[in-house]
Amino acid sequence: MIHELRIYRTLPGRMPNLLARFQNHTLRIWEKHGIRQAGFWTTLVGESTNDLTYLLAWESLAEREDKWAKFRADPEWHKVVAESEADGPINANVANYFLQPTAFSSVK
Amino acid sequence: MIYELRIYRTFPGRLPALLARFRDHTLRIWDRHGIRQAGFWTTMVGQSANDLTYMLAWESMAEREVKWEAFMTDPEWSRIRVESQLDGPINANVSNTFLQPTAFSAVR
Repeated sequence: MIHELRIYRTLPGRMPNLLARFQNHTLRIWEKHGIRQAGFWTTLVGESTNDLTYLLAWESLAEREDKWAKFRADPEWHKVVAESEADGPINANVANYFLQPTAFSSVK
Repeated sequence: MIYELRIYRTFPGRLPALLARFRDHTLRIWDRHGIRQAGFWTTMVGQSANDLTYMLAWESMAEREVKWEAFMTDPEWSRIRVESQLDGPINANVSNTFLQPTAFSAVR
């Protein structure tokens, strides 16, 4: 597995909207496309309490390329983005990394 | 659970020494102190290929305070730390963050 670490920095006051969008919409749309999450975390102590950190699990970069493109092009996702941001944008920044589990990692 | 995300930036060429220390020594000493890992990753695509990212899982901040202190003052760990750096230091920087799983996280 390859893990994609994604860190979203929300605009002040918008973390509840981001969490609600994942819980009520994004996770369901991901399931449709076979996209697997491997954990979601808010920040207890760190650089910004506006950050949401999460992991996605991919079999390969080819799988990621294919499924992520289909998700991004999904009309239902476009509708959800438009509706969830009708009262203003949610994210100020998105950072992502591709990580490779080590031989001794408890998560592979 | 509280997750501690730790990112070690190694000096150029020293990531293999860090991985060997975790695999051969640190994980065993952690086991003795009841410290639980929740994944180790090297960087495939990201800010620095010298980074090792890993997670620890804690029941509470109180557990972390007690067990981490016991580990940091463990005589075997003190010996290993010295021996593993006889040929030079390993880490250029260590950063850590405390993360709280969300209600819908695959990892809790």
